[in-house]
Amino acid sequence: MNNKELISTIALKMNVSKSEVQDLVNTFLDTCITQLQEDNVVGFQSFGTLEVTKRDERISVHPQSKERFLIPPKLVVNFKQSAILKEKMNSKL
Amino acid sequence: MSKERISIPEIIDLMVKDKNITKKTADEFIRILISTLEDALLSGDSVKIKGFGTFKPQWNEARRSVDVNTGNEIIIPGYYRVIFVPENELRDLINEPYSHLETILLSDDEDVENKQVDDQNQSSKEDNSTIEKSETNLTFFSTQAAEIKEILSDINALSAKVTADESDDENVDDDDFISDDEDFQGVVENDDDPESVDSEVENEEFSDEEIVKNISEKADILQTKSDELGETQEQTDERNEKINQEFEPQIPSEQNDEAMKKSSQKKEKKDLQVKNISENDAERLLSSHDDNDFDIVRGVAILLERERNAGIKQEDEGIQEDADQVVSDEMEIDSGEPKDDILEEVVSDKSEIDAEQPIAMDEEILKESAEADINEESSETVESHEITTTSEREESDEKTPEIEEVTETIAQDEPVNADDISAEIEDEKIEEQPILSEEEQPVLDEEESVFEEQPSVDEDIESPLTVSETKDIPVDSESEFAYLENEVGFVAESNETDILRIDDSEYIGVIEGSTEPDENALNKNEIEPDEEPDGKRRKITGLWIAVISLAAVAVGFYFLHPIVGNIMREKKNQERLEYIADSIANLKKVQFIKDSIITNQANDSSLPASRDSINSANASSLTDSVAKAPAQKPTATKTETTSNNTNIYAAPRSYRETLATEKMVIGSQLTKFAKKYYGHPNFWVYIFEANRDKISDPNNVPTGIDIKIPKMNPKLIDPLNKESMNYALKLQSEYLR
Repeated sequence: MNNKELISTIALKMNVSKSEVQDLVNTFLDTCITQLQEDNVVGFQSFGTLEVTKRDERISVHPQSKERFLIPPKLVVNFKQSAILKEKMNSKL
Repeated sequence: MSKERISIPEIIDLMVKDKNITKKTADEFIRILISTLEDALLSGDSVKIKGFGTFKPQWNEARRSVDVNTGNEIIIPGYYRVIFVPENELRDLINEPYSHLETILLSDDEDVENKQVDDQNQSSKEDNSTIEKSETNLTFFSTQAAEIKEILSDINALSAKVTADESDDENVDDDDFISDDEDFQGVVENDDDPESVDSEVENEEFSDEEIVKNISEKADILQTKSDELGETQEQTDERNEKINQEFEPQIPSEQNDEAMKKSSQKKEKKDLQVKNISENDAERLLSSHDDNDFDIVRGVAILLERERNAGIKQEDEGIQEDADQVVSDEMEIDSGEPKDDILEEVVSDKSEIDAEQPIAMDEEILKESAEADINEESSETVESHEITTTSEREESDEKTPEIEEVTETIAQDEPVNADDISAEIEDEKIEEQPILSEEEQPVLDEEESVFEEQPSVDEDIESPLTVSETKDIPVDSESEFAYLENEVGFVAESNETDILRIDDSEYIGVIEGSTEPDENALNKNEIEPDEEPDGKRRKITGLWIAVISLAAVAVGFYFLHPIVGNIMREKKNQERLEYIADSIANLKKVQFIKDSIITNQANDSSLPASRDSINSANASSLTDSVAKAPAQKPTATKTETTSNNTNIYAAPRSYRETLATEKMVIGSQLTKFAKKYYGHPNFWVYIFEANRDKISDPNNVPTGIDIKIPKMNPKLIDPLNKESMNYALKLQSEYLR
């Protein structure tokens, strides 16, 4: 589902307006992102965790031109599902 | 690394804190959000959250693996998995610390050295807390102070080289030399002394000493102020290492100190400037240091200026020469000290102070730092600084205005240490004015006013004032202009000279009184080659030229394409017409032959020949049949062959001339003959054509017959000619059908 559907579903369940839900979503995301930027792990019980990991630099070779590139290190945000979610997924799907 | 685990309640608290959301709503929201996500994922649907990313279920195929306990082969079954794909915005946001890094192409020997350095810096940055950062400031400043001292020693050496009339100089007041900001005043006053103004070049030498002293004093100040700074050693290291690194977003514990606040403010301003300045990001980085450096460099620069000005007051040329000499002397002293970095930093800090006149600041700082710089390196960076600043201010690259700008900018500085100095400098300027002639005053005033009116980095805003002024006033003395020209040119060339020149130019107008401010401005506007603006302009114009040329090419294609297409078509049509003409001629020949055959039906030999001719008419081997009935149409073939000069391949071939005759025996092949006589077996087709009467099936040549090897047009049997080869192959495929 895209963003719109998500918002409308939540608004329906919460009995609040869509704009409010949008605001809530924004606040929620802001806090999460701030936490991630501070290198903290954001966890949702029985769902999963969001974490920032560092990918080391690596040398990769272009297959055709045989050029070697040095890819710099970077920080990425990782989502790790919880075991409960994994079970649910595989039992249902 | 202190990675805390943030759970839902904590998020709720954070949400409630910032906005006016009740805890209950936040809690409910999060629960419902998670459940909605789950439901969607469990039904195999991916969920996209705008501004964040997408959660989607992913199917992993079953794969072979080994049971860890038994070592037996095991198949891990396929399963679903929830993955999160962050959006680009989020990705960039998270990667902020490493955002300046880019993938680089490695040469064979290169290794990960550079990146490792970055890595270390980054990791160290990640690990640093603000407290840790503050600890490194001291070390940084101590190293800088050491560098300054080294530079001072170099200056001393330089001053020793220069003739020693220092004691005579009135300006030489070692005691008066500023170790604190307060002392600047005294120095300034000395410079203002009219007697000193008239003094000889000796002042320059003396100035060196003064500079050295000032620098040493400033170095001491640096040491004392090292505690105030809040930059990490690692950050400074990074800066020093990465020339092209962008200004680091992280600013360490500045908030604690006022000075740090100021430095942060300066850094912010600097950021603005950095964005404005396209080149020399590295220098910016280097200069993104703090107040202390700034003070020291500024003081040094000011001193240098003063001294230079004092020396210059004599004559234009004399001053020029002196400046040159001094500059050259200073340049000789290159020691490659990092002091330059410090100076640059100070300079850059200075620039930060004045957001309104960032350009002016930059220029001034550059000039000042250039003065103090003994290193070529520093000179280079200063140059680049200057270039950047000049680029910012296209029209007003004069040094004198810059100096005044500096004073102006200094005046506008926030309450920092620099303020005192700036105030002093301003005072100095003001003092100078009354001392100097009336003409000098207006020069200064105008320049100052011009720069006061410069509200922003925008060149356009600045230029109208200066330009208008300069245009109004005619040029007075050629010598002055020449001097200014030289100055300007010199400025563009080298850093060290720049500062000197600034002083010189300023003083020329001031001292001699004959120069009008407009002239100077005019000179500078006209003469000074803004390398960077020119460069920028050139770049821009180059870009424009490229764009326009591309557009012209595209338009040309668009318009000419039909024309070109027509031309091609016409050519093709011509060829076709020729071919048609040839074929018509052939057909006519066939008709004629037919007629001849009909008339000569009794002639058996002609029949197969005619049949052949009819069959091969389209294959343009009409000449064969014609040759078969040579008596009938020898002329036709000749005309045909001659008429087909344009297209050899379409021309009907006549095989009247023979190179040789071969007897077909068992094992002999047409291809072998072709290779022997023509150089490539593919050309057997022509031998076949020449002997069509004897050979009906090229695959099955009867033995015992005589084959004549015709003399061929060399173009047709050229094995190197692609066209001939292709044609031969075409015939081959035809005959082998």
